[in-house]
Amino acid sequence: MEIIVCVRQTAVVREELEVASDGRSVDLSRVNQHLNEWDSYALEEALLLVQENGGSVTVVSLGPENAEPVLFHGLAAGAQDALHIVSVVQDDIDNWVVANMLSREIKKHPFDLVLTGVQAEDDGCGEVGATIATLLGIPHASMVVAVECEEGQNTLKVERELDEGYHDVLRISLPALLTIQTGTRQPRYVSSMRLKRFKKKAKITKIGFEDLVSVGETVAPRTELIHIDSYQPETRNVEILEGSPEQTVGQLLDRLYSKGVL
Amino acid sequence: MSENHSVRKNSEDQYAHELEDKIVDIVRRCRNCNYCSMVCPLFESTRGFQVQSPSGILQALSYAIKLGEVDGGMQTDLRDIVYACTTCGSCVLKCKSSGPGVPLVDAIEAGRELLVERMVGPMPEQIEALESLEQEGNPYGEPASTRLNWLREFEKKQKLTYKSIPAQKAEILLYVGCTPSYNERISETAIAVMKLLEAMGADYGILRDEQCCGCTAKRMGEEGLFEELSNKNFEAFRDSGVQRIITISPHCYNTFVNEYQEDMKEITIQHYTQFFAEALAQKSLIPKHKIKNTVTYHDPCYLGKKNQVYEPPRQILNSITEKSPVEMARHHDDSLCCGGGGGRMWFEPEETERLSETRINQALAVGANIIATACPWCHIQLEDAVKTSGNEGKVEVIDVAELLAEAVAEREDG
Repeated sequence: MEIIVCVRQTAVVREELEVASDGRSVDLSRVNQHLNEWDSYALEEALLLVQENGGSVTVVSLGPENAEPVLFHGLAAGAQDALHIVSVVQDDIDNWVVANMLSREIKKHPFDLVLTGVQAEDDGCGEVGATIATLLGIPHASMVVAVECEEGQNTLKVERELDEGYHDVLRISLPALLTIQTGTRQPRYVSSMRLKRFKKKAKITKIGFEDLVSVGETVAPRTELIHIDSYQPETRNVEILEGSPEQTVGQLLDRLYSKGVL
Repeated sequence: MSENHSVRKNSEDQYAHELEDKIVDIVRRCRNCNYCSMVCPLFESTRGFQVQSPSGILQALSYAIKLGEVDGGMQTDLRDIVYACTTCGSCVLKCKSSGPGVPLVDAIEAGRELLVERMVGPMPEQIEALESLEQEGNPYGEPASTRLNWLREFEKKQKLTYKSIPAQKAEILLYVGCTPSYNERISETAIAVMKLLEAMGADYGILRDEQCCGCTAKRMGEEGLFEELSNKNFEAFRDSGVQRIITISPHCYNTFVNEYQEDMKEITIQHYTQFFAEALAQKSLIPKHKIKNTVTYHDPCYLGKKNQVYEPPRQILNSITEKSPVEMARHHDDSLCCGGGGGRMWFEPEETERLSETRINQALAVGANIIATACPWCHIQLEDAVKTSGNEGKVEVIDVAELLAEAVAEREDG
């Protein structure tokens, strides 16, 4: 089975970020980057499917030059090939452009299955996977938590996560695209020593935007970011009641009566 | 495609084979006498299966290597077996005194390295800690930029004379470590150590950009990350020109003394208990009050069993307590591990009885109402066990540095 996994580098947000003065961006210059968590689950699913059924895994990413580490991560984890569609800061990119460029590159390669994460950690849009499937004209299943190859048939049995604890199971014909949910099969850990070895020796195929568009053609964004707002949660008073359970319950009831809750 | 495949094949094979050879070589020296099981806290606190003892873990590793099953169908079972060890070193001491002196923990740690290399390890719960170590220099998922927040808060309450290294020079470097920097309760230990250094008028400093010593990475089998952290730290120490480093955690102490490059030996490394025991002997610290409670001392494995630092903390406690500290049934080489070492702080290992709760019962059995310890992780484990065992109000866990700082402090009531 030939599997292509779309991966993306996202920011690791461990402290409060500030919206830049232009109101349309967030300063990420001092923030660490890593493989989008949902994509790491998609990559693991691909590697295990190939381990169980044979075939190969190719990772593909669209991003600036410094997005290379996620592709080396994919190679070190076990992918056979890595494709990097290199964007530059000036490129006007929305999810439509990302999905469009990725689908153009994917079309150039033989594949049975395309996997993406359900969404990205930073913008949480969840649009790219479904758009790629549409552009490739292949069936798509979202929020996938389990994948099973059906032997001798050109189909997969996939389990999807629904709201309220429900799951459904679908049969989907190949080639297909699945967006993978987190919490499925724990992504493997790629050690720093292993990553370093792959960064030194492994090869990533570079693709420019110009390689994917015809002369005179432009792939323009269809959405425009107007502004980003940051809402600070309201600060509320926290009071810790002290004393025995009997005393604290009494104090709690007093507070609830005085606030008119009871 | 074939080029990337050959990178994988060659690099994996060479490093993994070296580790496999190391493990098999150590296992070959084991006589399977199982004396190590008798002193192993893992064996004691679990159902006592053979693979829950040092020699059993070694056998599991050895067979997995011989059968080519390290990353085979039972890989998660092997991982759980190898990562359960607390790395306390009791087995190594027993084997030295009663057997051929097999470095069992070295084989277990090489096994973890092998599992990480084969992408089977570490334990899933440890992955976030390793990513945080790489990105922020601490295993707690906290931003590097907030590492000195505890100090900023302390400075608001007391005027301090510490130097900010490397911008300023100092004779002594206080290496604070990750847990005292980010855990509010354990920051109290760092504050106590600083109060003592201030009381001595010591010429000391703190690194402006301190990061983890690397112990956690090494215990989890992430040797590459350990090397990165140790190289960066060693350069920072060398460039600072300090002559002495004092650590708060026995884990940092052990890492600097036993696991850093040879050149580290040019710098004197001390755990704070060693430094302050000397200061008391030389009268550069003079206790003004005696502690009236009954105190017992819990030996941290990475100070005691790993480095034979048993007496300095006891000397400190002897000099500040009204009645002599009492010893628990198990102490010194025979001390019971708190269960938090070896990367186990990051996951819930199988335990029929929590080691830390057993330790609380041992302290209560000798009538102690203070358990003094000198390790941030032991402190967290034991304090937690006081609560989970329902012994709040009966016994309290306090760091030796906190007790000493209290004894040295000026009091209005004299």
